[in-house]
Amino acid sequence: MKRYCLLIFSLSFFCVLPVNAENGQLVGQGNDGNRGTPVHRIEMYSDDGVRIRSYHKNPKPFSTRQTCGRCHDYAKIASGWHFNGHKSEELNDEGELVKIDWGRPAQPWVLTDPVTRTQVPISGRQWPGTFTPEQMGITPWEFVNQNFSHFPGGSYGEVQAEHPYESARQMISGSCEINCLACHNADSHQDQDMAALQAARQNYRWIPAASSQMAVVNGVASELSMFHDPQLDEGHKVTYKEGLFDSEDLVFFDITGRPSNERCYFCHSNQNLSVGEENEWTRDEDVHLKAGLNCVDCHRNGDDHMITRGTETEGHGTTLSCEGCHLGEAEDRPGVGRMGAPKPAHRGIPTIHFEKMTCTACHSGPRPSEQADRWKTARMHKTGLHGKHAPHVPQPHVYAPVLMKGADGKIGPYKLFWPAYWAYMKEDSLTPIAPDRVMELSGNILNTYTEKVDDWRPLTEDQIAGVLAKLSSDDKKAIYIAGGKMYQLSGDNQLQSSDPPLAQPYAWPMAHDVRPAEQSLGVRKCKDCHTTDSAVFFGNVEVDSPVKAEGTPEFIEMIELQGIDRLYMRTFNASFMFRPFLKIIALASCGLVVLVLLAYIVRAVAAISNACVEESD
Amino acid sequence: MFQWISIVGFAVIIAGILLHSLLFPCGYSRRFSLGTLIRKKVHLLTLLFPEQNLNWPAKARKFIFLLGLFSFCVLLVTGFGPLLFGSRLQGILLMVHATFAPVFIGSAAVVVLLGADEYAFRKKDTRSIPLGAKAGFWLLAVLSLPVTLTMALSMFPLFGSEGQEVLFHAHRWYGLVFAWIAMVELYMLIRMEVLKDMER
Repeated sequence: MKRYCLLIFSLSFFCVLPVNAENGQLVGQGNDGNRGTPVHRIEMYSDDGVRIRSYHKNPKPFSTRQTCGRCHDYAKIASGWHFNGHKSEELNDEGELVKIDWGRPAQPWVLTDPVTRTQVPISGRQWPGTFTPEQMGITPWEFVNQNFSHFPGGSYGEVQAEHPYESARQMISGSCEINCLACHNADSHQDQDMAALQAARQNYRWIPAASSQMAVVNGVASELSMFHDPQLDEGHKVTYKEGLFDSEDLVFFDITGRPSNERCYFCHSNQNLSVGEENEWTRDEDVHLKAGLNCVDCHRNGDDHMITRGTETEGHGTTLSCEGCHLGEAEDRPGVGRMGAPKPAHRGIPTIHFEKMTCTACHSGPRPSEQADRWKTARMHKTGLHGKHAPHVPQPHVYAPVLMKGADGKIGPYKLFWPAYWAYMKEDSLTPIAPDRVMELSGNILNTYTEKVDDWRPLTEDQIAGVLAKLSSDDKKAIYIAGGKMYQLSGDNQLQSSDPPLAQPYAWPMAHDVRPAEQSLGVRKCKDCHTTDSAVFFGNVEVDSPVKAEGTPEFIEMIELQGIDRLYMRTFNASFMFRPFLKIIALASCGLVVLVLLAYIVRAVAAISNACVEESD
Repeated sequence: MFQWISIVGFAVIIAGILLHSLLFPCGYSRRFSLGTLIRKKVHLLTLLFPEQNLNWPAKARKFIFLLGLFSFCVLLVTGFGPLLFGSRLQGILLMVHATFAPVFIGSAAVVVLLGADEYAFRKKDTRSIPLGAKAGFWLLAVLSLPVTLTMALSMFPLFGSEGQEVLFHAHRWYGLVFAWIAMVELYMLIRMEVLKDMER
């Protein structure tokens, strides 16, 4: 009955949504060309569509779906990059169901479990090498609980829980709506650490109110009984900031259409662990930011929030790529120099480099060194949190910059980590086994205390064989993947290992921080890359694995990930030693030929002159 | 386009040389007997050896010429061979090409230096070098400059991407014309040498 009431109430609410009289759009949709920021002095609504007023004794938290969604098309926004990671298909403008093009692989979420020695890339976007939460047996509710700290809301956060227990918890916690303010709040009080704290408490519906610091929220949803009724029982206490409501019960939201870099950084920061925390201040930012641009100058979006990722292959966003601004070769609209981008000369660099390598190969990330560094990323290692809810997440070990060949066939800088997980194998496809299921089936083989080595609990081959025997059955063949190797039991129960492509590291492009041109590769001429010990080709990447068996390589060279023959590259690079001689011989030979030609031209002129004189005589 | 022009160009030149050698054979009375054919091939092979009556400077000159000829053949195969398969010069072939390029350039410069006097146009020329061969010699000497400089200059940080593209294409086109003329010139030289031998 209550649901029907809510439905009727919601329908009545939508009937009075503010729409533009001319085109019937919501007032926040479209763009009339005015570049001023509309002042957001608006009414605030709770998630059940009830307007929140200053005189409410026990006010509810405001809902972004109901508050922002009155003027902005929430459903359309929810189809944007940050919020659509749970879908494989969507409706297009013609109302047809079309498969979403996920573009090039990016940083995934990671499920880590130290006991089962698991670190597996998770993404609903079905990028090669990742598994969907569904494949891992993770429900949307669990997914949000695992990745809460840097989760922007929407996506799995708004999927209705099916399991009765989770459904009951969701009734208490509310759905994890898109937190519009996480990006668009220009007020420096916006606190994503607070958002993470609220999420850790499963206070999902309270996140926007608490993180914007418009309200103080007291209460912990995860500690409330399953039978708690948010409508009737006393649970959370929301206290809106004094003076928040004006005389008309309207609230001023300090909204910007151009989120600041710091908003992006909360989820998109990376730390080079070789630099060390104490020296973090010495790291330079992206040269574009130093030149005065913001992240959103390139990573733009329209109403649909399909943020331009900056790759050359993205529809309308192609001109907002490196090439788009710096080279701008589109015939119909030359875009070079966009936003003041200088056109690079690339003096002395053969153009074959631009066919074989991405722009970022020479310009992004730190210069490659003898060994790829370890990195932390905000989302994987949950950085930027400062309270009791700040976990210590050492894994996965992310390595960068690794110069390797991408799906586009070009060599570029990547970040990567080595997946480790148990799975069932059928022909060439793998179905990963959730860590709790592994624990359930394997007994105590894995759950023995061992001192951690390099953040891993070491795993012996005997343990792997034991677990595989327990996991396997007549119709299911279990395997374990770690450090680029696949372990399986042979017919006589002997442990075998191989290096199939399935066990390769998961890698995603490293586009930032872009270095100034003077610090790019190639600026010191060919020797920047073409030496026999060049880090670009022969730099080492650690093979990260809990298994430390004999014969397991500790490192691989980047060239193994570049699809180039090692001997060929070494010989090719060695040939650059002779390049100065080639230049000298070429120029000297040309000089000699020129001298001969000049000498005979002079003779010829003299002969012609003599002939003319003789003729005239 | 470059691929087809070069393939057609080489085909026309090779066909022209074959046709010419059939229609206007030099030195051998019978054209199509097996014995004549073998004798011709052996004769051509002997042209590669230094004559016994040559002095050391002449022998060195011949050696340099043969070195240049060999490197020219390598450059021809590595440079234009991949075009037959719709590919481009890269990988091992590129390394071989770049290794033999300086050998060829150096040899060519020496050959130009030592042969200039012999191939000079004179009013009263006592030597029996045909006019076409002389013209070919000087054309090749002139063309060797852009062929060499287009690649050598691209190795210096002087030209940007567009300049590099221009240099690369210029190298290919000049190289193509150079190769065509060199093939014809070689044919004329071989005929000249064969005739010279027959006269002895």
